[in-house]
Amino acid sequence: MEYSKDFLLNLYRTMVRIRTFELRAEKLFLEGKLPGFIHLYIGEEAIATGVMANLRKDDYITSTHRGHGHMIAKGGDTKKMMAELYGKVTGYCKGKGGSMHIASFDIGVLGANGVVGGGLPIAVGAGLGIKIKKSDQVVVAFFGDGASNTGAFHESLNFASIYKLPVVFVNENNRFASTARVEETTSVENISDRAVGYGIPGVTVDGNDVIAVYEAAKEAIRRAREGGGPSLIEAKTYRLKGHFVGDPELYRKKEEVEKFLPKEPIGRFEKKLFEMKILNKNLRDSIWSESEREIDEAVKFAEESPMPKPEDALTDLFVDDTGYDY
Amino acid sequence: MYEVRMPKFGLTMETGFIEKWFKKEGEKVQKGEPLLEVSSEKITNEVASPVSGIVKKIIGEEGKEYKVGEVIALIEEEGEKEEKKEIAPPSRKGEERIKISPLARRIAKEMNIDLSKVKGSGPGGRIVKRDLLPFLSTSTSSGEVTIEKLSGLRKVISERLSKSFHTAVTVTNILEVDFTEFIKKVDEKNVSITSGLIFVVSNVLKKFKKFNAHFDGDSLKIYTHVNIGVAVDTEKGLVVPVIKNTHSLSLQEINNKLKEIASKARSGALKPEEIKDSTFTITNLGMMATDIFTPVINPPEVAILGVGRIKKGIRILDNNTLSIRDMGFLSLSYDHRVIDGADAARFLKELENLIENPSF
Amino acid sequence: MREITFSEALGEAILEEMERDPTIFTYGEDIAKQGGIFGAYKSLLGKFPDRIFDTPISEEVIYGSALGAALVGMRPVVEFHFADFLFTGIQSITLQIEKIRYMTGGQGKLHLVLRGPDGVAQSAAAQHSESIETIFMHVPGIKIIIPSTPYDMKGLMKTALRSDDPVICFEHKRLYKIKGPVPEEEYLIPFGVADIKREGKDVTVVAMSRMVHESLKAADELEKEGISVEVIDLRTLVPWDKERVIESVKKTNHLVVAHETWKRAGWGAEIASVVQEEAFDYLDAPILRIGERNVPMPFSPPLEEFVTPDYKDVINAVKKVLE
Repeated sequence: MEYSKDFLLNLYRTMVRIRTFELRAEKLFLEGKLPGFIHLYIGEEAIATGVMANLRKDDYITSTHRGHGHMIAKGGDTKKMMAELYGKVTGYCKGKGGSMHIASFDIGVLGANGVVGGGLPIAVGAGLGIKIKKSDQVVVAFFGDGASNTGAFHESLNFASIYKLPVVFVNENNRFASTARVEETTSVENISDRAVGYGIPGVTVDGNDVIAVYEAAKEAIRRAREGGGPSLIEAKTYRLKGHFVGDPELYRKKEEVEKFLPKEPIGRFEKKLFEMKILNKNLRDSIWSESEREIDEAVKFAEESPMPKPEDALTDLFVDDTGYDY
Repeated sequence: MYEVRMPKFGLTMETGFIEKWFKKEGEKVQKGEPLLEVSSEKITNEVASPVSGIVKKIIGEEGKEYKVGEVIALIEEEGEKEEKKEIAPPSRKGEERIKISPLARRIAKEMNIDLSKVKGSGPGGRIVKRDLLPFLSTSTSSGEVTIEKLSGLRKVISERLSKSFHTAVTVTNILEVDFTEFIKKVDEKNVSITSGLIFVVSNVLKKFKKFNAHFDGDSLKIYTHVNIGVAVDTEKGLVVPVIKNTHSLSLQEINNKLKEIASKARSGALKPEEIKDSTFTITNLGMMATDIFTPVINPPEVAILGVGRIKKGIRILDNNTLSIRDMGFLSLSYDHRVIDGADAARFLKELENLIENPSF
Repeated sequence: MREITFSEALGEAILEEMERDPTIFTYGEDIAKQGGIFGAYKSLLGKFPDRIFDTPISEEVIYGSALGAALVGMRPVVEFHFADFLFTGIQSITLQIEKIRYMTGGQGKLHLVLRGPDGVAQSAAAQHSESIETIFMHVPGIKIIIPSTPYDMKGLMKTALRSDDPVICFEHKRLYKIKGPVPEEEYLIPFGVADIKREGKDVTVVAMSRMVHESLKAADELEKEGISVEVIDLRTLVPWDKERVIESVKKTNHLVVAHETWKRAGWGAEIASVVQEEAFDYLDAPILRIGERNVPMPFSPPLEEFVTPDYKDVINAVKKVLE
């Protein structure tokens, strides 16, 4: 498959932006600047990037608690994202959601979700709505290996299958559900095997190979858009950082993580692009420093933004709150 | 041990004098038997014993004054414990909590009802609104008071008048009014002038609500009902029987009532509840040789209307002609702490209008 | 005025709104072919075939998908088979539907309606008889409507179908067949407005759903003894018409709250608490509540009757409060 230089560089750029954002978020969190907790997407950038490269602005995604990568890949503004992490009123959710609930319905991000598997029924619902209004939009539902064991997962796949909904289920199998290893909690080796149980196509791809992800997603999304119904893509990857920033990671050894480092997606793609002579050191460095600058501005924006007023807590519950007692 | 306390015979009674004890220490007494005689304001009342038993201790002395609610005697009861609990002791010293609903507590506070006098009929002896109703109208709890002839206690009367004179800032506004039409009308209707005056004054008081009130130096209690006290001269002195709710009585009803109480007043047959709770007083000296005077306000009211002699006088009409008419002076005394001269002037103007253009 | 059943009024409301608004569609278990287990959808059978369909028994995705559909601009009406089964998919309601708009800083309009039968009905026992509206009053984020008459049913449902906020509607099983006057002309009933179903001056009784009828029956009995009862039907629980209730309590000085759901920590406690806070000085007696006994609903008829409140309980409470 031939891809244009620009296309490939854009994939690279997106992954770099995600990585930069996440590394900076980690740094800020450890400096004590971010309230709550954050879950980093480091090492998984290829999945969000490869999938999103197939989507239109009016397509939808549902995300997980590990949602910064999805948001950036779908077109999220890093300034508003950073402001939300800081809890500022200029954040995407006016400081009411934070990292785990970050959303922008305008660009089709139906929200990160703090409940494992929580986004799946919502994605199915979006698909249902799209079908009833006879549109050709599609929904991509991201979820992890942990979520593949929840009731919501099984109900959602069955439901999407019987109504042939335009939903692509993308399983980001990063091998860990918090501290639990996938081998110990999941009854199949390949989560994509579960697709058969619901009568839908299922494929497994190398989640750290952005082109492989792109191609698998392209097929599934085309099928959904043409009314062929849902599919399941299992993208195998590895969670390089802990479950959340500050996770003592007592469930694995440092050596194990180091073993997976060379397989991480950005390094691999970079190597390939160097070989194809699309990337050289200068261009590479400028892409990274451009990213850093973008994130610098995002941080500046966030830090200079005001916190929400305390009374703001009593707004945005209902469209019409007549007679409601707060 | 049952505590006999100085009873309250009316909304405004604050203290009472022990005239006479009918029982001695150690004597047996039956519930309902006369125990002592108490006087206050203008009347004397026999107080019946609330329980049966033996008079253990007489605390209040004859001739001395005690506050309402103060313990004046102790009676050792004949083993009927529930009775004691029926009348909830007041929590004056914070010993025992009065059980009372929030509504009843508020009403009692607003209407200045002494809770020591109230029996709670709610669960657990709780005082509820219905228990206060007897105190909201004008009767005291019946059964404890017996009607006595009017024995004047000049001391108390003079004390009250003195109090009024010295605490109220009494000012009198005077207006000459043409009673000609008024007299014609009352003759037609076959009612007395005073009755007619009570009728029109009640009307004016509906508009000038501030005059239909009680003032305790602190707060002004403005009443929606009008009870007119009518000063009556009797052998034993000045008595002010009260006609209740004149704002809702017809002229004829007022006339009948007035005849009735005036006659009772003169024969000394007035009941205690008939001489209290007036919201405004009229004193008519028209039969005497007085044109203008400065009546003293009947506390805790805030105004009193004096009516002078009506006699032939000359009035200059609108077209500058002279006319011989029946003229008389209205002397309106009012408490300047709560009523201004302009208010009083407007009151008189309205009254003048209703007298000079009677429509009843 | 014509009289129709509660169930027919519900069907009319949905049918009229679906005709008016093409984004409304409805799904749930046993509705498209059967017209709903209590016949609520009978009038919709055969109409709008692509906008009404049956689902598998998958509560979490049934309720969760309503949220997703609303977010892409549709107005789903989802039937929960029995209120008890809201618990089966509770995650989707309390963690998602009730939270999404707030958590995202007011981004979405979650126009969706969850509706279905609740309440005691002839030995359906513990998993098919409960009323659980209190939970949704407690967890903020959804409005609650509980009609008691056909008139209220139609008016409230139409408003719900035009609301941009999520609404849950509880219809008592025993009320589906009752008949009542319903105008032909269109009308809407706003949320947060209680209805004085009967005026009185001695005691205020606040109730909803089946207990409104029980309270009215009690009021008739009490009138023979000279006790005048004012029955207020809140009609909506979130928001509820606090002003009307307090105005009434200021008049009668006595309050009884009657609901079928369990007495302990039921929504009656919330009403009682707010009233004693804001109208304390008008109360001549403590506020009493009536509710189901604090046990799961038993099967055998005498047991079921014993734990379920009815008009006799209302009469006793009113008399106690006036003691």
